[in-house]
Amino acid sequence: MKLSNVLLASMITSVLGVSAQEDDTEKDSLTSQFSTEIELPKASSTINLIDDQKNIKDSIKIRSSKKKVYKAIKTTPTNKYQHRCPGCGRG
Amino acid sequence: MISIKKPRLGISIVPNSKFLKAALPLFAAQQVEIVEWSFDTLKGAIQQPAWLPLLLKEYSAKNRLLGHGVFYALLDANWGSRQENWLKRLEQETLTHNYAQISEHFGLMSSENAHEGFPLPFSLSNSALQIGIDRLKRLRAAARVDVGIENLALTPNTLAILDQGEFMFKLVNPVNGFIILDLHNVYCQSENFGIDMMTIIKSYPISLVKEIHISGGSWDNDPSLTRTIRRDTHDGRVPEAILELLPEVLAICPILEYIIFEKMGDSFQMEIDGINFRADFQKIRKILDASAISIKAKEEKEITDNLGPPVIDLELFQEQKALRKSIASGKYDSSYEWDKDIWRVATKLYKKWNN
Repeated sequence: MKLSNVLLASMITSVLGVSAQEDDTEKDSLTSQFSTEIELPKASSTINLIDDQKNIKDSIKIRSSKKKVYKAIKTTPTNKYQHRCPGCGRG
Repeated sequence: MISIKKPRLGISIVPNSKFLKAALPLFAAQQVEIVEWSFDTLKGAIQQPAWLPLLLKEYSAKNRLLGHGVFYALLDANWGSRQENWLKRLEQETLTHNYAQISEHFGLMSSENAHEGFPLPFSLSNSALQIGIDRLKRLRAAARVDVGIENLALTPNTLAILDQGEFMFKLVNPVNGFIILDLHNVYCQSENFGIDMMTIIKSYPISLVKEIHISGGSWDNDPSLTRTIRRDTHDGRVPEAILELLPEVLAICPILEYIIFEKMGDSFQMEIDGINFRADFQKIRKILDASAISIKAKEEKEITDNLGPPVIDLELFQEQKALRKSIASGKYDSSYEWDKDIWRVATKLYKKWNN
């Protein structure tokens, strides 16, 4: 089933958030795959905002830094969310 | 009668970022045709991930959302505010989202408290049957959609395995309900008691199997056990035995509409876990694509929900309490005629989930 861009963007944002928490330096194949396929206006604008705020001259360097980019677009506080009870798998 | 070409393949949703990371390529590739959501597993007003309500809304809008309850306690002989509240929550849930169907687990919950426990097997008596029918009628009345139950993995002995199917038929028949055939649960029964999987599967009311669950699990090699026990932990790869059997199972289920692939959110610890998850999904997809089945929609029947007061059986309730207490104690009670290793596993599960 085809999902809306809004939903996919929300999912990608969540995934990128957890990726940043897990590993700030290692290249993530999933992230790379989707960053080239789906436009994320919110994430991009946030990155630009971070660029402006920090007044970093070399924007290319910022965009190649996975750590900084991922932290900038992380919007879902996944560590606050607890799914205590998995649906099945209790046998 | 409407003819549906093939069952839809989907996944069970876990609102966990690691799960989502593993499943995202499947969603993005438009391969997830249906989703199943255990709506009663969110505890209180805990914050949801932003994508979850969006996902439920989109699948709901296309009638591709299945509800799968965990904590209704279908065969609990007592009735109280817990079940009342659960049904109210279900009513609210079905007003919020358009669920194509609602299902629950066969068995007795190991805990009397909401949000705890695991489904326990127990004696399949006529009094238990009356309780189950009453609870299913209430489930159907609250959900206002097709309702069904899933077979149980943990089974106390060989006889209970082969009796479960007939009991489930008697349970769902009065509400024109359906069966979820969990193939990994069958695999557990098969491995733990040395019974051929197809023999077990054919002991279920195959004509009522509307949904199949597929998952992996794990082997319990605890030194306290006299043999290795297969457990339905939803954390490993899908066993090849299940995939090999799948074409044959597809061929004998005439109303099968959905296949749901399940994996526990906590089991996605490394990148390879996500890769394996997608690989298992693709294996199922390939088998489904290669199958030459053509299924029919489940026949609708006029059911009158004459709901009187909830059925309560205090004698059975005391028996259920005694079973829970006995399992919690860890001391084997031969009067229950359980396999000793399964009893020990049940004790371990009690410690894990009743907290």
